[in-house]
Amino acid sequence: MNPDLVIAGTYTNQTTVQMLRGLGITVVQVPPVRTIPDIARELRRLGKVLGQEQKTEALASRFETTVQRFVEAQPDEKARAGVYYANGYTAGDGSLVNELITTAGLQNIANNLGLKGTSKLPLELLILEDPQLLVEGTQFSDKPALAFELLAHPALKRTLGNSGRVLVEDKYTICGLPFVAEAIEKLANQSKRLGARAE
Amino acid sequence: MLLQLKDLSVNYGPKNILSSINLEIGKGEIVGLIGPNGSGKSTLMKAMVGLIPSNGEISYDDRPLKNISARQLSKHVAYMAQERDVAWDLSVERILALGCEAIGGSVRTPKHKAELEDVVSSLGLEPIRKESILQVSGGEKARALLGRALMQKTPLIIADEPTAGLDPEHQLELQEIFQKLQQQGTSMLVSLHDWTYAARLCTRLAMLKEGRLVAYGLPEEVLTQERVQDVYRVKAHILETEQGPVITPTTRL
Amino acid sequence: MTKHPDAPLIVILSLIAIALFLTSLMIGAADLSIAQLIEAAFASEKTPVSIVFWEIRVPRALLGVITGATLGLSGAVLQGLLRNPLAEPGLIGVSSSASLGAVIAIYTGLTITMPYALPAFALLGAAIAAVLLPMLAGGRGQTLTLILAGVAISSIATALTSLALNLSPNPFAAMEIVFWMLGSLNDRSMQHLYIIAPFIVVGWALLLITGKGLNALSLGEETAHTMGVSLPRLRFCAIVGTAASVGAVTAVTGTIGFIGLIVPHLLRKMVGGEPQRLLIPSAIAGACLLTLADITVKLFGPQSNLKLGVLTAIVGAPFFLWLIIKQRRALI
Repeated sequence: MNPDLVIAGTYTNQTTVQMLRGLGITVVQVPPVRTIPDIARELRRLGKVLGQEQKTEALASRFETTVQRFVEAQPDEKARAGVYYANGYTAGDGSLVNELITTAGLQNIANNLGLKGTSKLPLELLILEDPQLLVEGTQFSDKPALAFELLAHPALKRTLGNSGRVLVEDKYTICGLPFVAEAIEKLANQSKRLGARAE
Repeated sequence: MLLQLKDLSVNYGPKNILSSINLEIGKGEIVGLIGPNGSGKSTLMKAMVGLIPSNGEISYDDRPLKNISARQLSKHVAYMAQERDVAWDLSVERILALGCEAIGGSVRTPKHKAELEDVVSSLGLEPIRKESILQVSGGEKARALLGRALMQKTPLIIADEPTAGLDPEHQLELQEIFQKLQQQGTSMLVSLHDWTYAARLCTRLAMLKEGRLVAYGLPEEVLTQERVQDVYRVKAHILETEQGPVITPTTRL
Repeated sequence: MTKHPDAPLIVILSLIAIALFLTSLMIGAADLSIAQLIEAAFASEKTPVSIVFWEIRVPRALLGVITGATLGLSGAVLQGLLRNPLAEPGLIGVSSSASLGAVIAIYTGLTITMPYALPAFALLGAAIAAVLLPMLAGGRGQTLTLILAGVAISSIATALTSLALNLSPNPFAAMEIVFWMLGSLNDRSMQHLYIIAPFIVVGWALLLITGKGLNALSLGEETAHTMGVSLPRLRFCAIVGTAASVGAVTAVTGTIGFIGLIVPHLLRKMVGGEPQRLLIPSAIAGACLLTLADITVKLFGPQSNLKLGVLTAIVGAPFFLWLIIKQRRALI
């Protein structure tokens, strides 16, 4: 196909990257985005490389404005949210989902427990943090697996009641792009609802 | 009649193992079942207690076997299998107690406790009563297992080769025990290989040949030269003594 | 009637079981003091600690006791029925077949609409193994054929379980073979207990009434028959009882081996070798042993991911080998 430009992840095989560069092709490596500011920054960088600076600048600044609005709307009393994935994994500081949660005005239980990145969170510890909101990920199949049975545990049901769960699809937590604002909004709505109930 | 067989036959697939056996056992009898290997002695005994299906009529105290439940049967007849394998490390005393429990008793009640003591002393089990059935000698084991059958307090005991593997002393010991039981009114059906032993022990002998009952009567009537030749295909030397006949096989035919 | 000869043994084992049960309640991922737990246990309001206590720790400890008791009891019954001290639900393939049944029920989604399909399918799997085993091994309780038949059934069941998990469209399913092969009490809930309870009750009842028949069976099948034991009825109670109870616990804990092997063996001498007297002590001691194993798993901490069946196998497998060496004369 003889491309002029290849966009690769930082995790792309380095040999491949070297080979492409050796062929005289420009390779731009984009790191996985784990924070909100990274999203705008990487967007602008790509714009520069692609010569579409105006377009990306518009996208980036609109995203920044949206995020700023969510940050300003954060309540003083932040509701406790826990991320809980299959097999009892949670995500704390250093994960994109953590950024989304905190931006939306929620406190992430994983941070309270000092858990960084994706790590295992025993159900007991989660319950003792008394979460008001459980952030779940995509279930990959309608066919069951024990990995997801944990999420239906009665201890969680009793803690959360009927409405304390929110689904943040994996596309929002894996790809750091401006559309994550949709997920932040979803979470911010929950934050507002929980804040309202607390008053 | 304690046990009555009318026209009993047993088939194994198309093969006829036993055919039209007629036999009666009354009170106080010791009936010896003799015949060469494969003549159907064990099969007949198993059929009698319902271990294998049969045609014809088997009745205990004039009640047909098919109307007797397993639980009731344990009060009519006690059976000693040829196999004497005991699976667990039970004491001799516990083996006896199992017989009592089979008929719904418990050796913790005074009545059955007394019965147990009675059996222990009459079978000479006192020295080994606490010992493991897996540790005692062959003769002791045979007595202990007989004791279990006795504890069922049945009027009839069916024993498949009770003397197998016993030395002469223990064979004689068992003979004395059987005769004592007979005097107390218990009837027995035992399968045996030793003609002399059978003739001395039993009140009547039943001889099987290829699944047929060829003779049933007093030992000296059954164990004749011609019949032994016909059934066992050996020549025998028969010597009449005061203790009964001594019959020794001499040559193969 | 005089006092039951095993009363002291049963009382002592029960006290140990209670102590271990309470200890198990005190140990978990979260560091909670006894005072906190007692307060939460009797709190009228729901607090996070009370939820942890009632919804996580109590079901886990109860499940440990029930699973252990089931495995101990069924081990004792199976050994009596097959007249062999090496019979055990894990070794003869009953547990792995129960797992297969449970796996089919869960991963096809059947249990979503019909929760009772879980123990029912596990029962079915276990029953098939329990019926197949004597057919393969022969009724005489010979060690060699028994173990070979058990190995064959286990391997087939495990392979099919693996296949079923691999065929599941859920990407997580394939990794869950570890749970089904090694077992765990982790994060089970009261829901699980409610679903299996009827199966456990019926199973235990059937197993407990086999005692007298098993005693008579010590003297061989033929003798037992003439001692008033209905062998078809005895086999039915032992096999259906094992299938129902072992099936039920396996459906929620996965395969946990060796409890049913170790426990009856340790107690046999204390009850004079009698199969009947072995039953209740085996159930209680099974509960003790499994609870102890689970406490150990919990002490390793939640991050260790240690499976319960690994622990029982580490203790049980050498024990099994020792039993085989002891029996070698009979094997040759």
